[in-house]
Amino acid sequence: MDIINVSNLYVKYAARKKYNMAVNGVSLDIKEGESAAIAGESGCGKSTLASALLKLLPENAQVSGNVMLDGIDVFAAGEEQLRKIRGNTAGMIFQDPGASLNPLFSVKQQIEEAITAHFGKTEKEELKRKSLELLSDAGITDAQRVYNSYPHQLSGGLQQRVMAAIALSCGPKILIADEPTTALDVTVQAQIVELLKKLKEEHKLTLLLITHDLHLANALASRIIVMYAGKIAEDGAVKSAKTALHPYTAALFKIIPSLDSPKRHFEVIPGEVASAEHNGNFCAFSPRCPYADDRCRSEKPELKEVKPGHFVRCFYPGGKK
Amino acid sequence: MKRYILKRLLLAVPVLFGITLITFFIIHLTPGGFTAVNMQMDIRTSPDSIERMRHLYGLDKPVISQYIDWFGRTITFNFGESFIDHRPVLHKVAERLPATLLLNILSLALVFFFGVILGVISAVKRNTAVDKIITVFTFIGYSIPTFWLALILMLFVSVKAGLLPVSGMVSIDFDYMTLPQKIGDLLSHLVLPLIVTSIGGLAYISRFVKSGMVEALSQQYVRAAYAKGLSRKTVLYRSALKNSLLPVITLLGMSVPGLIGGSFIFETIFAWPGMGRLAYESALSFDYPVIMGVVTMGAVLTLLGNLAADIAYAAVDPRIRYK
Amino acid sequence: MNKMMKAGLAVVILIVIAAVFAPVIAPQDYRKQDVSNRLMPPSKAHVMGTDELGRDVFSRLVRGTRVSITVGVLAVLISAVIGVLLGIIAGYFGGVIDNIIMRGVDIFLTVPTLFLILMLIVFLGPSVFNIVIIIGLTSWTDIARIVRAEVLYIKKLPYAEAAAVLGFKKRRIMFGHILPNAFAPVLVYITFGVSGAILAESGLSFLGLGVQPPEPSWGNILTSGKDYIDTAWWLVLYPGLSIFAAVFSFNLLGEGLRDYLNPKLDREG
Repeated sequence: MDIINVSNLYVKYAARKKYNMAVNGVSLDIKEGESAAIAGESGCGKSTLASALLKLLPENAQVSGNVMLDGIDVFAAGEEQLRKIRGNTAGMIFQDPGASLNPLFSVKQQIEEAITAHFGKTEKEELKRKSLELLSDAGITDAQRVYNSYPHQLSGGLQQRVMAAIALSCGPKILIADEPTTALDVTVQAQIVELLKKLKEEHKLTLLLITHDLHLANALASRIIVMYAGKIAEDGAVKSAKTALHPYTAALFKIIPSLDSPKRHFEVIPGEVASAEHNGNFCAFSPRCPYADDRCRSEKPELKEVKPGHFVRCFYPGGKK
Repeated sequence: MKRYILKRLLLAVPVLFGITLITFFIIHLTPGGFTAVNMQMDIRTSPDSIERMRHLYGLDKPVISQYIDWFGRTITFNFGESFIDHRPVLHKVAERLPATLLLNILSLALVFFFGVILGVISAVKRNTAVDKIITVFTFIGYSIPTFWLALILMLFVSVKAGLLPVSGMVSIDFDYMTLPQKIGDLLSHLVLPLIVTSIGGLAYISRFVKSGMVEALSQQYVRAAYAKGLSRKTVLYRSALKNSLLPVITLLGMSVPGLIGGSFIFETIFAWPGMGRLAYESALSFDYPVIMGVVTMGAVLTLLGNLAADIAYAAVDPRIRYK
Repeated sequence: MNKMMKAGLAVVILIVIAAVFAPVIAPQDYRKQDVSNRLMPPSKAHVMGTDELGRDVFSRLVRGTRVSITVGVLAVLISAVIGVLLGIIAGYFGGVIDNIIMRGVDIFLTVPTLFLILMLIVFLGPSVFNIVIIIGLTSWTDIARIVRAEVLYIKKLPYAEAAAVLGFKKRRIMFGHILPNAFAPVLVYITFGVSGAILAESGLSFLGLGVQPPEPSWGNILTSGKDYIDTAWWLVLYPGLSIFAAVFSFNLLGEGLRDYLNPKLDREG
């Protein structure tokens, strides 16, 4: 059964006298228990997509299309229902844990307000027991100390663990992790990856990871959804540049040095990221694509199922001509 | 926390020192000063008696040694006595203090209370008609000359409509009133001065709260708070509001000197017996000891206000509390 | 340019024109007394009425524009020069120099500026010249702080460090690189400063400590109006409105400039 169902999603941001398109027609189904990663360069619309799932978009965003989370229509939900979706259906952790925790409130306050928001008034003792359990569950060994701390007293890794504990405080079925390791040190990154794996197993979560790092995506997810210019470019179980069917996915694999590969040279994909504005009759990636030909420049490719469960938006999947 | 407050207190010492020193030099650098003004009227005054007068008050000594004398006396709470009516400066200042404190503390409370409400409404309803009306009001509020506003209010509310007393702090028959009557009388005298003192600050604080709130609402932790499933009310009035109040606390502490010193104009208009008016009167009559007393007291009040703000800030912000 | 800025600028230009061409605009000689027509309410002959000596209020207000604008602009220029210099010195050199300057700023923040101005005026004697100097000398702290903060920020930017590494003279870095960048916030503060100075001048003149009669200023016209408050409302209303209009329009302009020069706010909108 699909627990996340996105159909024909368009998101644009109102700027002075014009709109900036961020998500340009995305349809997507994710099954319960699946772990999927949405990947792409910054500006491809992946974070906007993640925010749209919980209707966490800024005020100037305009949305059309449909998002169903566990059978509930997110955009049609009223404030009360929306509150339940956020936290009960899906929890979310963010890129910069330091900025995601309110500096003026203790960990205790921030975790307990999440619990009371969903379970109503709870006994003090019960609240504390639950909070400590959630914190230890998130791999915090000295939960008691962290519980009484303020965010600025914690390291980035601990802050992200606290965020995870808060996200899971109301037993959601889905965990959305928006670049959960980007702001952290490399060693801490690995720990958070392990934590997310563990939490997914223990809580039988559906995991949706948002990342620019395909190796991280591979470490956590069995299915990778690559976005380019506000659209899905490729969707399937892609493990490496070789198994990638879209030249953009292959390029993404090549530019990111993997932790265990000995050669760590940085490459960039030449050219500029296309904006999601793009509505012309050509492939949005064609200006940067080494394989682009006249067809790519004069016709718009559609997302097609090339292999079972593997979709790609390219006339020449795998770069073959 | 203790170290933080101690550090703040230590920083205040040179400031206090600097203020009194500067004031002292200003009033002693003028050529004629007290003796010239106060003795010209007297036809019997001879150059000799002016000299004797200057000597009597120590005005013939170098400014530096005069300052050292003054400082030595002041730290023992001896502010000297007025040149004009020869009453102790401390008494003169002390009898004006209640009126000043009453007006300013009430005004600060009003400014804070309504400023926060207006600012929050403006931020939450950003770009709506309500926000625009509040914005226009705040602009008018801090562009309006307070002495003119005072006159206009006096004219329409007191003189024409006769709704409130024209000036002063209490009525002539105050001593013969019952307690409730006394309170009512005091309040009716307070209304106009309070409006005039508060309006500028209100405008200023509400704009400040608004931008603080808008800033807070754009923060990641607000998004995270929504993501937890908190209601809009909780996010706005629990999470974001606290953050947006931080700069306001500092600002309130810093607004004390303006309240005390800037008040002399309308204290004169309303015949409000506060320190502002005492400062004004003593400056006009070159009453050095009183000027110094008022300035010192004003500076002490200001530094106390700043200290209170610092402590309040630390109470709200754990990043300072646990340093 | 946004609406606020346009509206503010329009009124500011009007006021400046009135100040410059005061003799041409004023319908009558602002000094001409006509005791038989004293305290006349607004009429066709005198659009804003006459004062206690039968002088035309409108002409006197137009004349008063000159004083207000002169004082406002000159005082702010003085404070801007002091503030920019001290701010750059404090921010650029840091350490002891910075500490001394910032303690000075603290002192000015702790002493009630308006009272300081009052004392100086009383002791130095009331005149337009003294007012300009005194307001200028007492209101530089905001600009100094803003410039210092800007310098500290810019100092850390790659191009300032690069310039230092390339061996440019300190002075050249300060004035060639830092100043142009600090220009925008300073301009905003200058605009707000003019309205502050106009308020201060009119307040002092109102108390008889500023512009001295018979030279008219918005503040001192109000002073005489105060005595006729229940009979001649026009003597109270129009000078006050003039002050308000000037202060309001400079504030509008400043606010508009702030929005206009701050790209961050722009993107947010």
